[in-house]
Amino acid sequence: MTAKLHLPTSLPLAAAVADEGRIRAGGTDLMERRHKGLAPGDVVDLRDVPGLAAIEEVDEGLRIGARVTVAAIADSALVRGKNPALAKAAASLATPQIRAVATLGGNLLQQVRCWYARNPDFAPCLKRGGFVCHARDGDHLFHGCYDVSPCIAPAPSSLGLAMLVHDATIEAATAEGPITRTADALYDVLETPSHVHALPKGAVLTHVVVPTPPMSELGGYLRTIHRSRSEWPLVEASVRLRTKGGTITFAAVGIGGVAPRPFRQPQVEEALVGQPLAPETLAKAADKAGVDAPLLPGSAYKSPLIAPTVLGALRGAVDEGVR
Amino acid sequence: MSNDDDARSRRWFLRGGLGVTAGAITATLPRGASALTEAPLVEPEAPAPAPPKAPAPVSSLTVSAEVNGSAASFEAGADTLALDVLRDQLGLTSCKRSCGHGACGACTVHLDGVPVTTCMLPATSLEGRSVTTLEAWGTDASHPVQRAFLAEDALQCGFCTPGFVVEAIAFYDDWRSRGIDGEPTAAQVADALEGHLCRCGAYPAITRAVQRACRGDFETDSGPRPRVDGPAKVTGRARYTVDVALPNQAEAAIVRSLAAAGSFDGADLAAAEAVPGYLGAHLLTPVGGTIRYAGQELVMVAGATREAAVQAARAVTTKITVRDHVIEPARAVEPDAPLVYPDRPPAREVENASEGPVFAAPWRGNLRGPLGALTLDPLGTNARLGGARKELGAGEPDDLGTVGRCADGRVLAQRVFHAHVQAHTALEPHAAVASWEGERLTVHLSTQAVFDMAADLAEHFDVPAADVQVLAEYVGGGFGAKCTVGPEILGVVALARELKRPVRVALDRQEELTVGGLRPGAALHASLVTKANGDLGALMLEAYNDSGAAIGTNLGFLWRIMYPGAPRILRDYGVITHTPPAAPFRGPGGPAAFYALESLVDMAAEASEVDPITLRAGWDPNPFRQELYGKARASAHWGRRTPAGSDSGRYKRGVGLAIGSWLQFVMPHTEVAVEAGPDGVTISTAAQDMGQGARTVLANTAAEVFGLDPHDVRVRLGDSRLPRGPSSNGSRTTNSIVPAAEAAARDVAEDLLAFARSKWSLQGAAVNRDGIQHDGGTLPWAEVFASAPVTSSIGKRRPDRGGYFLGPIAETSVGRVISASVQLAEVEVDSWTGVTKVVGWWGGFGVGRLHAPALARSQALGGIVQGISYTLYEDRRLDPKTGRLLTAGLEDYRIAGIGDIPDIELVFADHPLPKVRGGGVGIGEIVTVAAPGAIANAVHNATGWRPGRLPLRPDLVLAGLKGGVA
Repeated sequence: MTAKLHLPTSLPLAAAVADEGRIRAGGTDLMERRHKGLAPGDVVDLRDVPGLAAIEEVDEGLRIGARVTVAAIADSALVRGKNPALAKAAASLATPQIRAVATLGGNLLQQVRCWYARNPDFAPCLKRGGFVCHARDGDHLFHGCYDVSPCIAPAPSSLGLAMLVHDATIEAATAEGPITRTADALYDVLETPSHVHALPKGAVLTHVVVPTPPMSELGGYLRTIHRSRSEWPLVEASVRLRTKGGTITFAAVGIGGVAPRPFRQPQVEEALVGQPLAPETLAKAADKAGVDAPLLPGSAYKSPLIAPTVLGALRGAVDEGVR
Repeated sequence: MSNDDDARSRRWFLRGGLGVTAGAITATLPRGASALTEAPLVEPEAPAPAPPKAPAPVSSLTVSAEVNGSAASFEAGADTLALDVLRDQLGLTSCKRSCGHGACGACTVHLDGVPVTTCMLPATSLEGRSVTTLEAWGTDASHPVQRAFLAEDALQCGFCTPGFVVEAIAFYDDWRSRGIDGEPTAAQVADALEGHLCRCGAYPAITRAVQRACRGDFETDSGPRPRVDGPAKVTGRARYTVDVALPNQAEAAIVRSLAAAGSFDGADLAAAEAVPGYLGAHLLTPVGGTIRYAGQELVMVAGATREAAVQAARAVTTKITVRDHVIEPARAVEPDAPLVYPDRPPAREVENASEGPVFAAPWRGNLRGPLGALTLDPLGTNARLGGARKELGAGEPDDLGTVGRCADGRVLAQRVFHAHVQAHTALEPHAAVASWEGERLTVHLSTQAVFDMAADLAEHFDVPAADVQVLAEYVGGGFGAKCTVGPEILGVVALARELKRPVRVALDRQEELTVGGLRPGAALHASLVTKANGDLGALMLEAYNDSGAAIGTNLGFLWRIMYPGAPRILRDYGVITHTPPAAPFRGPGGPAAFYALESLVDMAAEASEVDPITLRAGWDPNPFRQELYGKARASAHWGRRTPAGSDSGRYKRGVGLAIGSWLQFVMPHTEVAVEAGPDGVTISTAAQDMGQGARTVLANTAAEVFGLDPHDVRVRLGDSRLPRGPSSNGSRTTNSIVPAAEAAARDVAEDLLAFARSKWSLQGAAVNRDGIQHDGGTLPWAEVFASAPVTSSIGKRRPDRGGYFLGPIAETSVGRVISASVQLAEVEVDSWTGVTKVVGWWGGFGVGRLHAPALARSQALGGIVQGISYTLYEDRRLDPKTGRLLTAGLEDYRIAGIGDIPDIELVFADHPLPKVRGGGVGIGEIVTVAAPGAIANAVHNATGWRPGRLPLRPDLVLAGLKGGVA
């Protein structure tokens, strides 16, 4: 192969060449697509860029470098203590061997897992520069259930869901200088179906700042899958709860696996806040989960999975308590 | 990171940029962390200062790492994978390439002590790091984890074993270092090992092995080693076809059809020829040939490296006249459907999806059949079924099903059951390395049939059979799909001849899942009626096989060997589509046939208000099962069974029963050679060991005669030039080779006795296990071997006492034993999500004597695991428009993982069978065939809903629970 490899040695150098190739950190998503011929061109590898592999405490919370591995997030005492919902999401995704290599940045910005988009036997779809979605009129058993975008592949990043629920801030370097995005804005892609995220081309995701809550909180994450482990979620839910004197004082809830972006669930959050921390509260609130959008025929079965998934995440948060 | 559309990105850049100026985000911007974090709230409009100049990109660079304790440096480019370096440059072949996307774990190594997959790991990321492969733990299998894997026989084909072992070692190290007393739970082991798949289904033994290693059972005690090639497998020494690397070996890649139907008009190779490293090409479909499925092999391209071959294959332009295709069986039988075989070729010209012979049958469009020769008393069947249908107002079976009870107690049960396609998914893909020396051909081949493959290759390439050698030292799983000479084998043999150098092919996972073997799906229109006295009245089956572009079906046959005596109409059809051809798969037809039949029996038991075991015991004279029914009834699982649908909670538990039968196949002319001499005992035959344990049963047999440790017997197999051995399909290997091996060993022993008598003038001499016993004592075998000339004999498999039921035909005889299974599944259904799990299992089997009990247990566990995997998870899916494969990797083609398998209790009816040579028949297939029926019946018991369609995916279960048809 004739592809060239850029190995920038600093963030400004990385930002300067980011436009010239595919940005690579752990490689777990990119390398498979490259070997299928789906991600041609040069590679900009962040291996030698310093300062991206640490979890540090800053005033607002934890600032996690883009090259921090998923396993390091799952195992971090800091993350587990301050943001248990994030730690649980990290511990639940992929497999141990992949978590040991895959990075925060790569997880947040990874390509969809669509069995058409990732298969070179199919003509380029919306995600590959084409103008069709093969799954929409084809087999979309594992795609999103909500018809909210021309592309129907679900957003694959469980950490992205968690970051949305944590109101995290994404930091990126560009040739013009650093930029930031909310997690919500990062996944503002429903109208740009060629994109899996909304960072500008040539931007290098460098850090994510996860706010530290004012008091310790409960966190939960659950993915509904058929096999017991190591499967992409049919539906996933990330939840955060804070309580005082048996009453829920704060709730943040989001769902994924159902659309090309994760969704916050304000109606569920509202149904939780101010209520006693009791099984009925959780069940009633979880029943409100979902998005008001048309369903796709081949994946509509996911809709009734949402409430049990949110409920399971809420129960997991409560049952396992504060670490 | 795929944002390639500049304009769109820019638009979103601006929109996003404006978005973040709103309050919440400014408040959370970190302060003072570094200059970098002092971000402007809006991206600058003015041009940024000129960036510093970046170093020039490189095509490759030198990477330095520590590999297995030694410094290593290698060249790596942007696309070089760590796996490529380890396997191809450093020869560390314990790391296996299997799925290519981190789903199976076969390529796992330790990176700085932490297990990682290497099939997606950029080689450049190894810089300055420490890599440890299984080879680092040496060749004596003395690590406690390796000892535990051997003691528990936690492996079969061994292809996934190195990955499991290195992962388990990391877990063991962590567990032991924390000084925890006792052993980890099964869930803790599953959490650690979830990133590994084992297609043979060794999970229960793996879990047990890891638990026992962690609790310290093997710190000093090495434990038993029931599998003689186990040490080679747990150390990574076992060499599979994909590991063969000959000097000057070229690599091949295949250009496949994207069209499902058409004619192949040729290929333009100009661009391929321009690819550096391109060596040559060979047509796998002739110009003008017919294309019958997407994925059909058109051209094989050879390159100096795999990358070169792949690049060149991608550069080939094929010309295809595309025609209308038909993908769905339901569409294929419509009168105007495009025809897959418009010229209705004779059976021998079409691929055979079944294990038995293919009989002539009429074609009606894409419908081939019926085959109805096994029908028994059609008039009686029609009278009994028709009478019950008339009284109950029922028509033909349909998707909803009918179950009803007549006034006199007769019960009618009927329904259309749908069984799905299953991909064989051996973790070692189809692979071959061909080399010619003049007109002599050697092929390293991942095959279940070295002898037959050599004969077929000799015929195809028109060379004397004596000049063809097929070698299969280790085979990483086959399950029925590695018994025939596929186009990829013909291609590498032809290219090796043309290029005058060795050529290797190994299918990638997408290819393997496309054409690497498929169990046919089927729609079974099934009916059963009982008599007023509760006996079985009649059965009727019209089976429509979904075997793609292949023909051959045997579902009716399997209904013939069950519940004998009652009249039955049995008709098999093949529905032919423009999809990849199906192939025999472990117990061909069994899972579908017994799923339908045993669902009907379950329906009849419920409608008759008779216990399902009692009903079967009354209908079923099989002596094995008569012994097993009582044990099943006494099991804890059956004791937990409550009336169907009585579990009212969200999670519903149930227990289900199904039975199955299988035939005894024998290769009647099997030969096994035994040689004894100063170097010990060697036993050899042209069979192969794909994990079922042929090496071990041969070693055990010779060891028994000569009083040896089986590990001290040299076993040679996997070589077509050895005395003629059986192919490993139809559960025939053990049943064929053991009697021949025993005959040869006894013959050698007798020859040595004669020698000893004359040499030492022994009085009253006789052979026994320790040596030659005589009036003056016992002369140990070792002394006899040392003194005697090399003594050898070739033993033959003699016919069973009473002869065979059928044959020999085409080197196959069907014996008189019907092997038997009784399977109990315990399931839990989440009625809110449809997620269904198997939470308990009891398996009872009758095959007679077990020649290697530990390995027989492993086979049984594996058969049950594969049955669970098929019934719940596996689901080969094709794009409905193009017929191209969607489930093209092990992420979407879902096979059961280590956490999906419950505790499994095994019971054997294992008395030696007096008429069978060796006393026992094969076990490979009987252990899997009843699994889907047991699970489906358990789901009915749990929920009151009876599954009419497999697999039991959450969406289908949810639809069924809500009153849908599924």
